[in-house]
Amino acid sequence: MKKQKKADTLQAYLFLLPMLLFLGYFLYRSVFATIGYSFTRFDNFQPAEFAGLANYRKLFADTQFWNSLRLTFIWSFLSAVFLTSFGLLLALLMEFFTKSARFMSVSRTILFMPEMMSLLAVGLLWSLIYDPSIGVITGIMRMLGFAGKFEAYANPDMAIYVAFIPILWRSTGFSMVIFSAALQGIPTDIIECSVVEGTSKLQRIVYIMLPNIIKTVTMVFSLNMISGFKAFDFLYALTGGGPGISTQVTSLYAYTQAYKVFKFDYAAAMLAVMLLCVAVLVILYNVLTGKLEKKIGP
Amino acid sequence: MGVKQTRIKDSDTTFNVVGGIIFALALLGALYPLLWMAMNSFRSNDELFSNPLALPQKFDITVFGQAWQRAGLGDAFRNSVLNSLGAVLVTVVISSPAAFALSRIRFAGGALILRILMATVLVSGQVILLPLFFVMRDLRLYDTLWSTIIGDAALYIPLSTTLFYNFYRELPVEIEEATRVDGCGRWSFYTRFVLPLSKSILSSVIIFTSLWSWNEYLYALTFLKSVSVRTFPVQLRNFFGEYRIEYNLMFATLTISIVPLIILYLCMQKSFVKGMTAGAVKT
Repeated sequence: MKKQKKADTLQAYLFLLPMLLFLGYFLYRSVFATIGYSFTRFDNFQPAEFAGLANYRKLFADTQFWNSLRLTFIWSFLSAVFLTSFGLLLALLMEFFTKSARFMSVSRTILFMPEMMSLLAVGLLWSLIYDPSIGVITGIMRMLGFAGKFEAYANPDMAIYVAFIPILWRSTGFSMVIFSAALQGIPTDIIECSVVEGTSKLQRIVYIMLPNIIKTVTMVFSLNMISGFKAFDFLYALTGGGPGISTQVTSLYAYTQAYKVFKFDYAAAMLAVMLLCVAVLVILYNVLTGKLEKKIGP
Repeated sequence: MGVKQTRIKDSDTTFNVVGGIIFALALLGALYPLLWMAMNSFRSNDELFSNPLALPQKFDITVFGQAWQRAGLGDAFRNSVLNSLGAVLVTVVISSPAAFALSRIRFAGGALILRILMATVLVSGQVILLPLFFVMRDLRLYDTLWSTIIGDAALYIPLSTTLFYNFYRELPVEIEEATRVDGCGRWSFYTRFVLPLSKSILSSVIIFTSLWSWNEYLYALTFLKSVSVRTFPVQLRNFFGEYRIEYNLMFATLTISIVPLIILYLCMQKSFVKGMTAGAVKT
C-alpha cells in the first residue's frame, strides 16, 4: 500500500515536471525577483547593492505615485461596478426582448463584437473618436448646430472617467455573455411558476433571477475588478497617461520609470506595492462576498 | 385581483418601453463606432474634415491593400500567427498533463500546487516583466518570437491548468478503473482515453490562449525590437505613430485588425464564446 503511494507521488510529479520547471523559472522566480529588486539599487542595468527600504521611502514620498495608485483604484472600481452592472442589465434585457433565437444570436453578436478588438486597437480607435477635428463627438456637435470642437480631456479631473467610456463600450459584452449563460441555467419551471402566480417582470428579476445568479455576479465583479487593476495596453494607446498625469495609472507609471528613465529598482517597488494591493483587495472582497452570498443566495 | 392585474400590466408596460429603448440604444452604441471606423476607411481627409459623420461617396476596397502594405502588416500578421501558435502549443503541452496529475492522482503537495496556481491570477504580466526581460537577454531570446511565446505561456498556463483540472476531475472514475484492470498504466490511460475525451475543453483553451496572445501587447512592445519580428499590435501602434496624416489608412488598418477575429467568431460562434468565457468562469 505504502509502495503504491510512493509510486503515485513519483508519477504525479513526472506529469507535473514540465509545468513546475517552466513556471518555476519564468513565472514564480520572476515574481520573487521583482520583489527582490525593490530592495536593491540598480546600476548599469543590474542590481548593484542592497538598498533596504530606500526605494520604498522614496516611493511613499512621491506624490506622482500616490496619484497613480488613486487612479488605479478608481479604474478598478469603475471596471468592477460599471462593466458588471451594464453587462447584467444587457443580459437581462436580452432574456426579455429576444424571443426568437435568430434575433438573440444577432443581438448577442452585435453586443459582443467590440470585444473582438484588442485593447490596443480600441485605444487607437477611440483616440480618433475623441479627436477634436474629425471625431464622432465633434461631428455630432456640428450636426446639432454647435460650432467649436470637442476637447475630450479639457478637464483633467474628469480625464480618467472620459478614458473609461471606451472600456465600457468594449468590455460590457464579455460580462453580458457570462451572465446570459448563467440566466439560461436557471430552471425554467421556477420562472414559469412565477409567471403563473402573476408577478411583474421587474419582480421576476429582483426575486427570482438575481438571487439565482448571485454567485456569477460576485465572480464577474471580482474578475472585472482584477483586470481593471492590471490595465495597461488600453491607456497606453489612448492617452499614454496624459494629459499631464491625469490618467497615469500605476502600471503606466511603472512602465515609464522602467523603460523610459531606466529606474528598474524604483519600478519594481511600485509593482510590488501594486501586487500587495490587489492581493489585499481580493482577499477582503472574498470575505465580504462570502457573507453576502450566504445571505442572498438561493 | 383585478387591481393587482392592472398594476402588473402597467409595470410591465413601463418595463417594456424603458427596457426596449435601452436595449435598442445599446445595440446602436455597440455597432456605431465599428461602422464609423469601417466607413471612414473609404473617405479622404477632405471629406472627413468637412463632416466626420457622413457616409462614403464610393467604396474603393484597394485602400485595404494599400494599408496592408504601407503598415507592413504582412510580416506582422505572420509573426502574430507564429506567436499565437507557439503560445498555444506550449501552454497546452505543459498544462494538460499537469492538470491530469492534479485531478486524477492523490499525492503529497497536490492541493498546495493547485492553490498556488489559482492565486497566480493576481499576477499581472507587468509584475514579472523586468526579471523576464533579463532572462530573455541572458538566454539570447530577446528580440525573437520565443521571448513573447514564453512570456505569454507563463501567464496562461496557471489558468489553462485550472480549466483542464476542472474538466478532468469530472471524468467518471469507472473508466479509469476498467482500464487499470486491463493492465493499462497511467500514461496510456492519459493518452488513449483522457486526451481523446477532452476535445471540448481543448478547443476552449486553444481559443482563449490564441485570442489573448493575438492581442498581447506589453511583452511584444518590450521584447521585440526589430521590424522583422514585430507582431500585429506593435506594428499597428507604430503605424499610428508615424502616419498621423492619412486618416483613411489608419481606419483601414484598424478595420483589418478586427476582421480575422470576426470571421473566426462567425464560423464557430458557439465554441468561440465558450472559449472566451471559459477563462472567466470557474477560476
